[in-house]
Amino acid sequence: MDHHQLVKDCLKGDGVAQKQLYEHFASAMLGVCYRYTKSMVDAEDVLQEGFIMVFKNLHQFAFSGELGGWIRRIMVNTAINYLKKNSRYQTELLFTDSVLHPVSDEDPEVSLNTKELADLIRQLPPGYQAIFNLHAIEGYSHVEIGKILGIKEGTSRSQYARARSLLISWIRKYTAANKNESTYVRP
Amino acid sequence: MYDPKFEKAIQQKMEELEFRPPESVWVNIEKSVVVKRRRKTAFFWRYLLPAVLVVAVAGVYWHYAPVHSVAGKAILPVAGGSANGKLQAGDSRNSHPAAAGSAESSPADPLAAGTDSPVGSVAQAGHLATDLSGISAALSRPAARHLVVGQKENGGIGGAAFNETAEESGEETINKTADGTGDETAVGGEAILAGRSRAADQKGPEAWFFLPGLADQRLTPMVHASALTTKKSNSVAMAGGPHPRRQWEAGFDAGGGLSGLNHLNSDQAKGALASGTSSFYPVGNASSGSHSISDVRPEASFEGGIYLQRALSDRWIFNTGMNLHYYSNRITVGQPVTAYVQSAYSYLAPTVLAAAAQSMYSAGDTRSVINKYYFLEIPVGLQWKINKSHLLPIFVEGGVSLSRLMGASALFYNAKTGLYSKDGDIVNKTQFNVESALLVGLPFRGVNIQLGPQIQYGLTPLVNTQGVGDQHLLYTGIRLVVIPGRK
Repeated sequence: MDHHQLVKDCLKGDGVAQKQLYEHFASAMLGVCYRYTKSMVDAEDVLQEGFIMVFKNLHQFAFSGELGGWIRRIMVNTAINYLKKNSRYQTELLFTDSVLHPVSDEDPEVSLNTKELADLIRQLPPGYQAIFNLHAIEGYSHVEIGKILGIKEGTSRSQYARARSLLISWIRKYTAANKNESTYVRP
Repeated sequence: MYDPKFEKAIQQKMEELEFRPPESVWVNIEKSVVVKRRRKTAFFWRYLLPAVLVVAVAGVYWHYAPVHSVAGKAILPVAGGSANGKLQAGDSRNSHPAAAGSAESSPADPLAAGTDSPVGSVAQAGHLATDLSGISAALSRPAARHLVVGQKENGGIGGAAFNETAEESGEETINKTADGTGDETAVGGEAILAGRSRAADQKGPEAWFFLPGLADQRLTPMVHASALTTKKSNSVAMAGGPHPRRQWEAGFDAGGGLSGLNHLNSDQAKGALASGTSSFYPVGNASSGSHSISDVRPEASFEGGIYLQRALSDRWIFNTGMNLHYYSNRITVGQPVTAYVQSAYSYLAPTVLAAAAQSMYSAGDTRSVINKYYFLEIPVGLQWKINKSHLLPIFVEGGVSLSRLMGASALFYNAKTGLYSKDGDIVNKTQFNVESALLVGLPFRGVNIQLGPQIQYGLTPLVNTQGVGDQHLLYTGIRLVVIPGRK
């Protein structure tokens, strides 16, 4: 699919092209939104807002880059804004400057499937969840995360270290539980 | 330093994370995008309408302004010096009693030949523009028909049309040029004539006269002095001359009436729903039992815009312009539909799609809705003047118009789903119409007014109804055309 042509058609107001663009990226983007939120309904809300932003700002797309990457960045920004605005997430997004927590050297093997892993990430407190998603998956630096979330770089590092440790411990528990053929219980 | 294998593994797995979003997400996104498009349309209108008005006003001004600049000098209106506003042209010895009487009673008659009055020589063709300033002093009826003298190279060329006008009117024409002086006399109510004076035989620019009142009769109002003759009424006869150069005239066009739409055939609709082409059927109440899917009644419609016309001959007039035309009609629909099921799917696991977000209604007679459409029209027409009357000319008009849907607030019937919805995609946004009108000309203080009934029919079906009958817009109403007179 020629994404650049698709964008040009969308900019002309072609409804078919807009639907095509949406259908091409919606599933993957819902996956992105899912990681940042606590429920599928919230994820769908973020997806909807994100795509409205996409169509609203499509004229700003630089044709030199990847359309998928550009849409993904909009989705991530929309998700972060959604967390900031939504009262359910606001309280847990309050970041406190804490003592720097060193990142664990542990690199456990991730034997969980995609959905299981995503569900574990979503079990993290919202602040941890956002920072973990931004750093580990999106590849943002802590300086960038600090700017995005309005926190200090050190806070981002510390929160990420805690999130990482917590997730690793849950993965181990989950893997162990599965080895014992027992049902996974929420950590 | 930790090795971010864990992060890479997580990243890899999360790349594969995908979920299929429900249909309602796209419905809401589409709605938002459509709303933005509508806002853009409103934004467009906010600037288009003032622009059209400015262009119309500028056009009218530009069209009539050149009257002031004949020969590069101010051209002044001329009327008779007598109290009753008659302009006495030429020799007061003329035999017409009214003219003679007027001349006698007005010793300062500016155009009275043989007098020593300084304005008596104003008609000298060689000094027309200058000398006519004196004539202006004799003005007594500013609202009456004015006589303006110009020069041939600047003015339009009057000609045979005047002669024809006079003949067509059936009124008596009195030639007063036989006395060799070239003097002519205005007679009767407000008639106005200025002719070739004795001085006009001198060398110099030839005298041309502008009679704005005649523009109302679609005649080029520039008249060569030598060709003028007089008549009893306010018509001016002309012995001959070059063919007139016909000019564009600008004005305004407005109308109001009723617009209707065809009924959709319910039998065809049922057939379409039952056929393989239809994918859905309504879950709500069924359509009405009548032969039409729903009741369609005419509602108010009006139009307005700019109007341009140009006489092609004495009988034929070409016109065009640009209108904003509002159509509406009242339809009946059934209950709102909250969900509908794809008929091709299994009943055990039906796919229920949210329809409430799109304000869908089943066919029926439960409630009535007024559908509104806003079209921008470019009409092109030809008028034929039936009679020869100047007081009440009657015109028959026929024409076509191309229109574009600029906005709509309407429920459209979709034969595939059997539902009414605000789905603008099934509308033919460009329409081709034919129209006809019978107009009566009402000259009023220099303003040309045409008034009469008009009918317009859309040849292009309004909605792509997928085989349930075509719906065409029909408009009937009263049309008013106003063409301001020259200053």
